[in-house]
Amino acid sequence: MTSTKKRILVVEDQEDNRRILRDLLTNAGYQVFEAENGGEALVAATTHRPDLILMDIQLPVVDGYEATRRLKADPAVREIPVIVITSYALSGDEGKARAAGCDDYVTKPYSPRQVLAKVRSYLS
Amino acid sequence: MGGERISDSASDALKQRRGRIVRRYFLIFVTLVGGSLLVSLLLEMGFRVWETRWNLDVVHRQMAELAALRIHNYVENVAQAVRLAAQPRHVVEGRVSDEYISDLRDLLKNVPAIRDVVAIGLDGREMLRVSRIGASALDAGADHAPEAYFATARAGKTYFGPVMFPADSFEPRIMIAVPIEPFRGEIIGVLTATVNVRYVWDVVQEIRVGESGYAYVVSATGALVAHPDLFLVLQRKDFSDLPQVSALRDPGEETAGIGAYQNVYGKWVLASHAAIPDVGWTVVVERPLTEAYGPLIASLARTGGILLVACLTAVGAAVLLGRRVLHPIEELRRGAARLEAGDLETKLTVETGDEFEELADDFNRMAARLKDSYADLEKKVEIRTRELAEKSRQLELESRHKSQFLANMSHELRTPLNAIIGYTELIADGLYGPPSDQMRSVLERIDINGRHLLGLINDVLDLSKIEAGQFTLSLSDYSLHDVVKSVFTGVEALAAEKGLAFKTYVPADLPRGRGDERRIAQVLLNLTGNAIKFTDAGEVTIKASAHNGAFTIAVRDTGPGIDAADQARIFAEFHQVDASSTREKGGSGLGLSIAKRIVELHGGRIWVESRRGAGSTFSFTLPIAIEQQA
Repeated sequence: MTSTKKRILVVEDQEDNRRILRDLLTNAGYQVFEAENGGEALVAATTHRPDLILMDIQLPVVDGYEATRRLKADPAVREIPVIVITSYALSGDEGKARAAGCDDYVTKPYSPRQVLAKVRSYLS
Repeated sequence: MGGERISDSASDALKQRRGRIVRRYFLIFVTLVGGSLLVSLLLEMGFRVWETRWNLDVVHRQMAELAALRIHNYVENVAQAVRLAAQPRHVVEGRVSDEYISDLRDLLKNVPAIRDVVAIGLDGREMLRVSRIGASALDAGADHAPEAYFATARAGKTYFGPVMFPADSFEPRIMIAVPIEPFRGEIIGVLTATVNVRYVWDVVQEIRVGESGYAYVVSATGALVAHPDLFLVLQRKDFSDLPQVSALRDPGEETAGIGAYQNVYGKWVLASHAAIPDVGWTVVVERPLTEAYGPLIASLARTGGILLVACLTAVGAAVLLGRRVLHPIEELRRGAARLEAGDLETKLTVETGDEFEELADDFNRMAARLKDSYADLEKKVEIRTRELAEKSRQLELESRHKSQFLANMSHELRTPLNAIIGYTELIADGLYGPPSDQMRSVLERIDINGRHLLGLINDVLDLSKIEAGQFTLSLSDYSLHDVVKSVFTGVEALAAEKGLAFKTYVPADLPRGRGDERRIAQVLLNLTGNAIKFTDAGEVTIKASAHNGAFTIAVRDTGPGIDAADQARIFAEFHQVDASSTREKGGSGLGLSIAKRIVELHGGRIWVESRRGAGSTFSFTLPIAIEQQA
């Protein structure tokens, strides 16, 4: 069973939000890897080869845009869908996220149910 | 450059005006100096001409009279000699004896001009005859009695005959006849003497009038008796046609024959004359006009020359003085023009040593003062500008800091809120074990309050962005149909909870629009949410339409309505109809002002129509497609 589980990389620096996504997705039957910043995300994406990446934008060291851009520039991982979690706070985030090459986005604050629905639409 | 053009036109005007001033000075000088000179000199010249003419007339007349006197004396001397000879000592029986002939010979001897003498008896018969030339034979047959000379002499008077030009000689002659009177009152005959007037020529020759003036003698008939040009006399010229001679025949006019005439050669002369008594001749004196008036003309030319020089000097002085006065004025004007054009370095150099120099010095001091105060002012302005720029920079920085702070703050606020809402939902979904019904209802309240708090934070953030000018639209194509549908879906439950009828009217053929879809949805959500919030019974409808290139979306409710006084204010920030409704109905009071900004950024318009107790209709328009925010 374990081997058939879809693998999701959650990139989120904030502990509570990371836990909510982990609980939500684990409970929904996915295997979750976590990264706390863009740098870690790049490493984790190459090593774990997830089926989907949930990427927060506001990250320390390397932010979500830069991480997305680098992922999409790497032929080995560019096929992995990236859903960016943008913040309502900063205008133009959606445009910037799309420019960075993400496949989809959810706006923070999000409803876990909506996130789950979006994830399922990519991994069904 | 504008300044140069100004000074150009100023110098043009200056040139024109300069012309005026010089002309004025010129006119004044010419009029005053030249005019008075001219008038006085003209008067002087007029007087001199008049005086000269008068003098010339007097002199010429005197000369003519002198000549006349001399000729008369000569003739009179001859006549006197003849008269003396006519007082014979040899008288026999009332007749002259033959011895008388010696008296006559003496007469011829003493008076060379007498050509021949004839003694005539009272009967008119010749008694004795003595000739200077040829035989002294008596013309025995001649009867002198009817002749005028005989009658005149017989009457006791001296007769002077007209000029004769005998065929045998070129020399003119006259006859003098006197009575032969041995004793006073006893006339015994008539003595005639033929006098050669050639001697008059000598007299005439000697007369010199000025340099080349001359005198000549004409008889009463105008025949020429004597002239310096002998040839004329020998030609037996008749001068009676000459105007100055013919004028003599008019004795009424005293000045006739005096003045400028043409002489026999056709030359202009100044003529004068004097009568010679007894013989009835006239001495005419003529002098060429050029000579007579020569000194006067020379003097006039001299005076005219002086006048001309004086006038030229006056003109020159006028021009020079004009220039001298004008130069500093021009300099001052140029300086003023330069100053006006903003050249504060202007310095005038006027060294006339008079009031102009003082004026120029004043001007320079003024310019320097102006320059100082200008520099001072510029320095002050510079300092102020720098201060303002600094302040503005600080304000901008502060504003940016504030916006950044608000953005960060709202992110920071939202992160825990996100966690709260997330956990609540996970608990409610039974992720951590099945919740009880009571727990579920509390979790729902947590969710509702959390989302409310989120809305408030978003409003505050939007407004801070609007204030910082950082509120920007993300333009994309959208379907108004979808926007209305998403809003409808979002608040459908709320309306149903309050038992309100909730309808939307959207024509199927609406065109696709271009704008910020999320912001448009936010506006519509705000209006619809308010409508549901404030309406307790009845219905809420959303109606969309498109015409004239714009969408119109109207949200109508059957709520309490809004007073006219409040309608204008509800789009202002932090405003609800009354403070209590904020507490009752929730909301930050910023929604409508944010909605208004969003609509205006799209180039649209938002307004409300309402009446207390009759519900409200909030409407807004949006250009169907916008390419950039307004």
